[in-house]
Amino acid sequence: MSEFKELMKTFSKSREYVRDFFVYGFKTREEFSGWSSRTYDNERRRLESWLSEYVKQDYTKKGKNIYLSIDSNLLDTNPLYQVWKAKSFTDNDIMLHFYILDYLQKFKERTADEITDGILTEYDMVFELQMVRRKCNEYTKDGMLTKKKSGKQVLYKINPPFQEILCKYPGLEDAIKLFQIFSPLGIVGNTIMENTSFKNDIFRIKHNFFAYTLEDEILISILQAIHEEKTVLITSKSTRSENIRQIEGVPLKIFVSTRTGRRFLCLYITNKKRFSSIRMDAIKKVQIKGNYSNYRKIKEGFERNKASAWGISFQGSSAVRLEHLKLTLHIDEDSDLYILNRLKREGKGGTIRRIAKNTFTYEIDVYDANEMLPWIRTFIGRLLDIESNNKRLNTFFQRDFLAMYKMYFEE
Amino acid sequence: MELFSEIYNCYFQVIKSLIEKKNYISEEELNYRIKNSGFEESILYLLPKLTENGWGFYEKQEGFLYSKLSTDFYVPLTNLQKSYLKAILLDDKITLFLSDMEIENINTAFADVEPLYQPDDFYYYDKFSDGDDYKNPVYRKHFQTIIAAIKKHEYLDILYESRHNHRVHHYYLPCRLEYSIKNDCFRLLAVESHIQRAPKIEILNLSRIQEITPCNKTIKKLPDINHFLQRSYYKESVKVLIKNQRNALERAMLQFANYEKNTRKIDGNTYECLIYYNKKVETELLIEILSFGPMMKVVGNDSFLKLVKERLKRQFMLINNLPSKEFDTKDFESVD
Repeated sequence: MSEFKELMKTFSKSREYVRDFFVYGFKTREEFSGWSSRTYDNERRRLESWLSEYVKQDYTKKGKNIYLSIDSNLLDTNPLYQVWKAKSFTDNDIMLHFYILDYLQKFKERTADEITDGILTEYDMVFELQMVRRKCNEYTKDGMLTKKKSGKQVLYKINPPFQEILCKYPGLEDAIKLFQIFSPLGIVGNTIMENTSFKNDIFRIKHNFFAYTLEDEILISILQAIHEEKTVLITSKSTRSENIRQIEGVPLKIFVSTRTGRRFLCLYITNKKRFSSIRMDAIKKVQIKGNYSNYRKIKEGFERNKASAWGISFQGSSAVRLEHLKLTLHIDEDSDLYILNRLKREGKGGTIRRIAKNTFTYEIDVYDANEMLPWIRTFIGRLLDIESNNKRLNTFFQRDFLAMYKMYFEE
Repeated sequence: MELFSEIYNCYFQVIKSLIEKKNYISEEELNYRIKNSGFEESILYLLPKLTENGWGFYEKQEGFLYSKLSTDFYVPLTNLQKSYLKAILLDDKITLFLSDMEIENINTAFADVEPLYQPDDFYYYDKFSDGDDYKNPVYRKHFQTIIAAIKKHEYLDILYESRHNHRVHHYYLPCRLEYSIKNDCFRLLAVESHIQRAPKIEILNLSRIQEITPCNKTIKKLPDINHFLQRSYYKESVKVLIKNQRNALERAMLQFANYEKNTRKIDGNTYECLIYYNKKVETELLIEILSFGPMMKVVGNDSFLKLVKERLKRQFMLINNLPSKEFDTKDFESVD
């Protein structure tokens, strides 16, 4: 039996486990399909090790149930960042990291030969020259060292500490404290905080979805393709059916919902000549392909279309290009004016009219009015009428409302 | 630019924090600090590597471990980190922290890398449109005064205009600034008066603050903000039943992921979820639950259930008062 390790070589398998534990929080060993009991046990133990503070357990008829209980309002950072800090390494990796950086801090510019000898003299440790040179080149590529030629020699130099910049611009430290907890790729900001030994003691975030960080490696590849105007081949696994599919397209933008916790990649499917979107958490792999020559033109068209998308859909169920929706609402002008504010700030520029005392209409044209249903339901208790050329919308609303009514008053 | 890299590994960070600023350490302290800053089981792997003939960072002398590395040891930023910093410099909220000149100077310092992302790469499609005005110099001044007071643990004299346009004047001890992604605004989490018998947390919208004056009165330690927040939660959670149809379970679990919650399966297709909340988010939680339609049913607590029923009753009456909208149940049952 192999020894348990709390570090891991690859991220993909743990990504799915952490997501399931975090999002669902109730799956027992039997409910995780596709992997062996041993895998479940190891992944669970790793998760307990990384996130011990947040792991809770209780017992159900089906067995022990472990779950992650995280209240994002109470935290200074995203606890799921821990999973990015669990990459395995070799003894040489960690030793060379500390010895090379420490040596170059003391001795400024040095060749790989001199560093190898210096590590022996200073720290009494022996390394092969090739290994030291490889690590120096790796760190140069990563941006921690600078390499320059002096005659036939190649000299390595350590780059200055970030502390120097923070001393000049102290506001930057506070900014990092804020951005690390909510911005895209906030994990990177979190590593800067750790590197420079400070913690967030100022900010909290509301409406934060911590599980986004599990998609960050995928996100970096997609952003690279967007910036380089390239096409991508996406391999995704359906969150419902578990079917694997591949799709090639031009990545354009990441659509983020601040309400539902979902993020989507919007892309242009060249062979179908239409815009489409894929859930970010369904994407398993991104392969960056060639340049897309028409990128700017497609992007401009996309930005124009975006204005009429309620959510992520660019195509409705009816034959018309844009679907019209009109809500008539009862809003008490003496006590419920905040509902008008809601319509203004959440209604994406829809037109609001007062048609009688305490009666208002809200109208908008969107690609797919069905996407508005969850939002429309938030006005339950105030809706006088729903009109749309998408006939199914009203039917859906009424059917669901009736089911709700029965559920609470007749069951 | 690799994110999943050993450079950011927890063990590397633990060792860095051990050696910086201290050139010797006892084994007991080493033990304690690894337990505090590493993963749960890191001690088993790290301790022998640091105290025995492992990585050679320490030399044992007279019961202490002496570091061979400099106490000034630092790790320079990687390109990924610089690239992230350049990205946050493009966010409109950065002007709350830095002047235009400072932003330009930092950009110059990292001229060799491109921003990791542009604000335009993301579109927050359901974010509220009436976010705070971060360019407003008064807002910016208030923001900076609050940050300074949080750091100094200093009381502030705040003139505040409430939602109903009432002006109130109070002394507050600022504890945290809360940013809401959905509302795109900042709120101040403050304790109204620490001297009171039962101080409670107050939440003030930054955009409604009219004036702030530091009081020149400080306290040694800020109160435990989490204690106040947790105390504000209702004793009884909301208990909902989720029907796993139309992918509702997954949608609900994602949407409520930012609440403390506990979910369990109660039969083949139904799940029970307890959601912990406080008065200030009650309406928000209520409309979030309503947005799920019949896929989610509130079964407790009684006061929350009453709110749901009131809304449904009101809606039922509104529909039935319209002559053209007779509510005939037969019309809808066959539709899918």
